[in-house]
Amino acid sequence: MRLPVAVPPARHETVASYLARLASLHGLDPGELWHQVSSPRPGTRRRDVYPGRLAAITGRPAVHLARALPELRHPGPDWQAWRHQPQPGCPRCDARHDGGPVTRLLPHHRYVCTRHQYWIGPPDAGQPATPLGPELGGIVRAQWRHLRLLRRHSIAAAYDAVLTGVLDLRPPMDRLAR
Amino acid sequence: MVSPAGPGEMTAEEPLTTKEGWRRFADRQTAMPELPAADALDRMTARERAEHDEDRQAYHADLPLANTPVIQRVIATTRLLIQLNRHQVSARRGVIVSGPSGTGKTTALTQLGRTHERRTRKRYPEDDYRLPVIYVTVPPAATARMLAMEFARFLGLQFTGRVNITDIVDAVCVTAARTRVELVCVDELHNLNLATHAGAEVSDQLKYFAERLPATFIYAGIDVESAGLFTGTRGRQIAGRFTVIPATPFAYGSTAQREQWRALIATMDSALRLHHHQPGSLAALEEYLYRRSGGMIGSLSQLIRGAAILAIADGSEQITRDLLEAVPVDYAAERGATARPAAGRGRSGQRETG
Repeated sequence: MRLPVAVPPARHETVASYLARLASLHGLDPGELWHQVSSPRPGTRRRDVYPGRLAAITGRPAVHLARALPELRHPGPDWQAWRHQPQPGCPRCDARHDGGPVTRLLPHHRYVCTRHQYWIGPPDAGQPATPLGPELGGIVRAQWRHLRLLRRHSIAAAYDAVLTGVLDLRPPMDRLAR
Repeated sequence: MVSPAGPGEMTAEEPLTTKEGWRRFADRQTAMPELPAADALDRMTARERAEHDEDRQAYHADLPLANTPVIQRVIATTRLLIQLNRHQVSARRGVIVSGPSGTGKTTALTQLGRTHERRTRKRYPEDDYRLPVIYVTVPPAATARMLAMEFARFLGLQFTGRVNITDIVDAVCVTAARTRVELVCVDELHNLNLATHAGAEVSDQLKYFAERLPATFIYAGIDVESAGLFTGTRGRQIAGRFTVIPATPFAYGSTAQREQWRALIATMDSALRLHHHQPGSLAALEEYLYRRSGGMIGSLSQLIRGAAILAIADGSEQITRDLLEAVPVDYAAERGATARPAAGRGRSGQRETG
């Protein structure tokens, strides 16, 4: 059976956040939906989400869901390139998604929402995303350039390039002293 | 969910009492098959002819429904009440369709729902989440929880065993409000027995849904007035809020009644796609058809659809009295026929040639 208001997931949204939004839209307890789409992992108290079951209740293909929900990707992404803590994203992007707050799991290189110019870097506890004023346009442009670098090369190459760039920016005396 | 059924076909896992099944029913459009000329028919290969016959048999099995006076009245009354109820915060008015079996109550209910669904979707084509109509049936020996689960099942809400009825009702009301439900059709109301404790609870549950959902409720059931639906405190409240539309068999006494019956036959006659059928020829069998069907629209439909399928199968391609005799009708109609031995004989004897 498919939920009638099967809204799409937000990009990089956590499965828990998506299920909580779906549950809220239908007046359900989030645990109810969680039980429907997951099975207990033998020997543990944890449960594994089955993309096929989530696809069945939302009517959205599992591949489309996996594109938005990193936890459902198979094979899974290189988690070393991702932050370890879910966080709120850009509030203007989130406003497009019904059902409550959206929690996202972002890769390390996502610092700025380039569309709405919000800082979405690793947050301090409870701190919301911060708008970047016109005087900080350079940061937005830097995020654009970095995303282009990632697309053209790879995360590893971009990481090396950034690290080298940062080392080269150190004062000359600092470099000589090494 | 991937379904092997084509557009408009019902499947066992998607009955009418689910939103998917209901959507299929509302979307279903019966296309009238072409009747090629005799020479084109002769040129058909055996395989083409078999396919042509199969298409026509499928079409006659699902012959388009005639717009009976009950259907017209149900649609007109309920459309008015939907308008009147739109801004009411409580005590919304509803409709009860009551009558014997085979008189077209479910047909009237589903046609009303289908009409409203199609009209609403045409008005809001962009709103994918809108569900203008809920269609549920009262299960036999129903409890309040079973009824709430029927509503939940229609909406596609599933529950594990841990939830209580309040959780189910809340989920139904939140979802129905979010999907902007405007019309709730509750069929098989005769399964509700107000004399029992469980039946009274189901009645209260229905009333609670009617209070919480901003929708117009329409009920259908077999002779619900005589089943005690309007007795007692609960019954008086129902009687004060609902308009009863009686679904009765067609009568064949006065000239006006005969005209109505004749018009119904003529409508069905014009929908037939048989190669040797002469338009209007079914009118000659009107008295016979009345006697066999007892004026029940369900039995009449079965007779004509059955005879049309047999006419294609045996190649006669026209409906005759002999073919109609071969079609079984329900016990109620047969019993009615034996109780009316005079009808269909006498004056009609010369005309019943088909």
